[in-house]
Order: sequence, then C-alpha cells, then structure tokens
Amino acid sequence: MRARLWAPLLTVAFFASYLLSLSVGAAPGVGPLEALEFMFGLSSGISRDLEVYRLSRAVASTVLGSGLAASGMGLQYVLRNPLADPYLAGIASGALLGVTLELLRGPHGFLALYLAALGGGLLTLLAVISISSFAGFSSLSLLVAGITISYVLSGATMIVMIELGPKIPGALYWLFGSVAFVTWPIVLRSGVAVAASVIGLVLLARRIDTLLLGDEVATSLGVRVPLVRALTFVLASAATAAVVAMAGPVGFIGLVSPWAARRLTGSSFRKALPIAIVLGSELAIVSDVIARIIIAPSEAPLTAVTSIFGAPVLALILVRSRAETSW
Amino acid sequence: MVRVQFRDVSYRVRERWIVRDINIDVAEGLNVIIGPNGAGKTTLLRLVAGIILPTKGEVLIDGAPPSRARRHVAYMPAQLSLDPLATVDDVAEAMSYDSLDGSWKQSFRRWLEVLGMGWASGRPLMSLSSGEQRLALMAAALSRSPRLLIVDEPLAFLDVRNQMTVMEILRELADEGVTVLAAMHEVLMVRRADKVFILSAGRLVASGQPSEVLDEGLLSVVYGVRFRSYQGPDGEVLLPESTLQLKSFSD
Repeated sequence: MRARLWAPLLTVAFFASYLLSLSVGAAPGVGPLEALEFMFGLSSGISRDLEVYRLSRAVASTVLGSGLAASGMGLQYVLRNPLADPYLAGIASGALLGVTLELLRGPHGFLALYLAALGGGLLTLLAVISISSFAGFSSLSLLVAGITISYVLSGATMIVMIELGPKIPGALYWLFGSVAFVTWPIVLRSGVAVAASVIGLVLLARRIDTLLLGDEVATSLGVRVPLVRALTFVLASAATAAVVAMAGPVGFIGLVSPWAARRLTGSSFRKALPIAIVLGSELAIVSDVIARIIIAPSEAPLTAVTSIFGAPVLALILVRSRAETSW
Repeated sequence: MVRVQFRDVSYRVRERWIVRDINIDVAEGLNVIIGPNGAGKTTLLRLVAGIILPTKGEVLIDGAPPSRARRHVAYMPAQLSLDPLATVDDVAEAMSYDSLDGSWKQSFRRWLEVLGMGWASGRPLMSLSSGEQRLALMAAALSRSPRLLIVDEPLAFLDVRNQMTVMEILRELADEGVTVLAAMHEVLMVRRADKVFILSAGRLVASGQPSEVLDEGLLSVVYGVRFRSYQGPDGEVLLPESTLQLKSFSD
C-alpha cells in the first residue's frame, strides 16, 4: 500500500537526480539547458563530450547505489539486524583489500578485480560472523566484530596502497571511493554483475521473507534456512564486490537505503528491495554531484560526502533501535 | 482429516535421549500432549512439523514424511522468534509463503477479528505484548487453512478470556475435520480434548480420552504434585494442591 504511494515519487526523484547530475559540474557554461539539449540529442562538441562523461558518472553512481543498497538489504534481513551493511559487516573492507592485492600483482581487467573483491569480501564476512557467534550472536557483537576486522583490513590496505600508489595513478581514489575515474566498459561490467546479484535476491525474496517468522517456523514451511542465508551472503558480497571493483568502497548507502526503504514500505523484503535500490541510486547520484562541486575544481571522494551526511543517520538509527528493541 | 503416525520414534541429542520409543496414531480431533517441563512435548511437535528428523523410527503424515505434507500443515512454536521490526501483516504474508492464491488475506483478517486482534493490523510486533504476538502468529497460522495444525503451548501468555477463545477455536477446528496436535500445561483445559497423551521423561506413559487418562493418581506421579478431584457444575475437576517442596521453600 505504502510502497504504491512512494514508488511514483521516487521515480520522479530518480529522473530529477539524473537531470541534476547532468547539469552540475566544475566546468562552467554547461548547465541545465545543455543537459536538456543532451537528453534530447541536440548537443554537440565539447558540451556533448562533457555530458557523456557526466552521464557515465550518473550511471556508475546508479550501479554503485543499487549494489550497495541491495547488499545491505540482504544482510539486514538475514542477519535480522538494522545495523548490518556492507561496511559494518566487513565485506567492503575485505573486498577493498582483495582489489588492492590483485592490483599489486599487476594491471588487471574488471573480472579479476571483481573476483578478488568477492573473495576478500566473503572471507571477511565469514570471519566477522564466526567471531560474532563466539561472543553470543547479537547486534552489538556483530558490530564490534565487523569494526574490529575492518580496522585490521584497513591497516593492511593502507600498507599495500603505499606500495601501490606510485604504480597506479588514482589508486588512492579506490581507497576513498569515487566514480570520477570510471570508464564505460567498467561501468557496464559492474552493472551486469550488480544486476546478477539483484536478480538472485529477487528470486530468493519470498524465502528471505519467511525468516522473519524465525528459523523454526520458516523450516516448517519447507524453507531451507541455512541455504537461503548462505546464498544471500554470497549475493550480498557479490554486489558489494562489483561496486568496490569499479569505484572502491563507499559507506552508508548500504546502511541507510534499506533502513529508509523499510520505514517507507513496511518490512517485506520483496516490497522494500526495489525501493531501497532506487533510494540507494539517488543517494549515490546526489552524493557524487556534491563530491564534484564541494571543493571544485578538485574532486572530493564519494565516501567523504556519504560519511558526512550518513553518519547522523547512523546515530539516529542507533538511538531509535535502542528505544525500540533492547539489545 | 490428516493421519499422524509415530512409529517407534526416538530422538537423541548427543548422548541424551529426549524421547524414546514413541508410538502414536491419530487421525482426527483435538489431540493434546501434556507432561512436565522437559518431558519431550516440543520435540514430538517439531518431529511432526519436519523441523527435526527422528534418530530412530519414523514420523508419517498421511503415510508420507512430514517434508511432503507442508502445504496443509501449520506450525506454531512455543518460543517465538519473530522479527520485532516486522508488522502483523508481514507475519501473515510470510506464513503464506507456499500459498497459490491470495485467499489467505481474507482468512487472516477474519482470524484476527475472531481473536480480538483486528486493531493490530499494520502494527509492528515490537509494539505488541507477548500474548498479543502469539495471537497474531496464531491468526497467521490459521490463515493457511491447515488440515493439520501443530501448536506448542497455544495458551501460554494468554489471559483467561483469550485462553477460552483459543481453546474454543481449537475445539471447533477439530470438529470441522482439522487434525489438531497441541502440547500444553493447562490441565484444566485438557478436558475438552478428544485424546490426551501423557509424556514423562521422554516416554509415553498414558493415552486415551480425557476421562480415562486424567486420573489424579497418574497426574500426581507424573507431575510430582498431589492432585485432588473436586465436583464441578459439569463433572469432576482436578486441581493441584501445593507441594511439600514449596512449603519447605518458604521456611
């Protein structure tokens, strides 16, 4: 019901964010008018080239936002934890370390980076869940385990980055997360990888929804609970890996969009997933626009923007979840 | 009507036998398992719901293993583990996981009303009390229109009025041809069952109609509490007396 109410609004906002992304940038003289001309295929010359570049950033942001939102959705539902996201669960840090290690070995194509990120992300998630289980699986233990492991991996990543820095220009941007250096072929490949994960999650959606009944009742309905959980972990890690391999890790989008989608639609995974994906894309596109202009003509890292705007939301979720449910 | 059979069923966790050599054959009516805490009641229900598999023997629903009969079965556990962020309607929708059409929606509304929970539609579970959450899950389970209803402690956390309502619903479903299998502690309510099974330390110690099985001597031995029979307006009532242990506890 509420999903039906919000869907048109979010669709309009989605197109508005694209128009915004095509209209705003460091270059003077290419604004909303040029963006509209481009949209209707009327632009040419430098203005057109610039718009093609901005479009690649908008599409990359869409892929990035969708991937992180879908990943966060899956994690929050199977871990039954509104604080779970690709960052807090450690997947993003693991994926980033995977990518940097792979880069250290030499130049690589997207597929190799994606697989390295997926391997790193899955291993980290496994470690986080194991540590958290030892400490009596809870929101708090998961959070602490995730943060602990992330610190270790970030340390390792920094060391590798120092080695890597001089070899690959823009490697630092990987560390910080940005879509400024993406190219169309990479956006396309990452998009396909994210789409594959999303399709997987959609196919699992009805089963994921039964988990809210508790494992016992879900099992009595014929759902193979451990399998559903494991598949969701793999799909969530794969979505984040695709994003990290393209643009590095970007925080908060995977946390905030599922949370907001759940607030808007009620809590069915099936209904909230598309809303979370659209919200995540919009957040990423708008954050990218801010990253472009906040210190123009320089570029701010995407994570810097999402952190500044996302951290207060995390605080809000913490306060609310403390008020609503006891840990 | 659905036939449930336990054939020499035993279930073991590590070295400990939880239930042993259980033989039960029920095909209709309201069947209630009673027995002390830890007697194995929940284990029997989980075996029928296909959540666990017997270590020895077999459990059959209409001659087939429980995993084949899920569509016509509804299971409600004693210990709820619902997502507190989910709404009452999410619970019903999740319960309808394997339903082929949307007919459960109407059924769910009706059951919510019958259970006095119509107002709770759309509310998150964390805003409901334990008893209200149980009633909501009960409505969701019933909206599956099960032919076999497995309920563990259906009266737990409920006030007297809701206990009566739930008991009447179970009675009515049984009369309509649903096979109901319940585990409970409310010995006074068990009189309304068609068949009673008394479980003690993992073994079936008695089974039969309430009038045959609910014997003050047997209950006293099984529960370790002296029961005394009183004459009520519609027959004999068994009431427990305070235990010696409790008396010494207060000294």
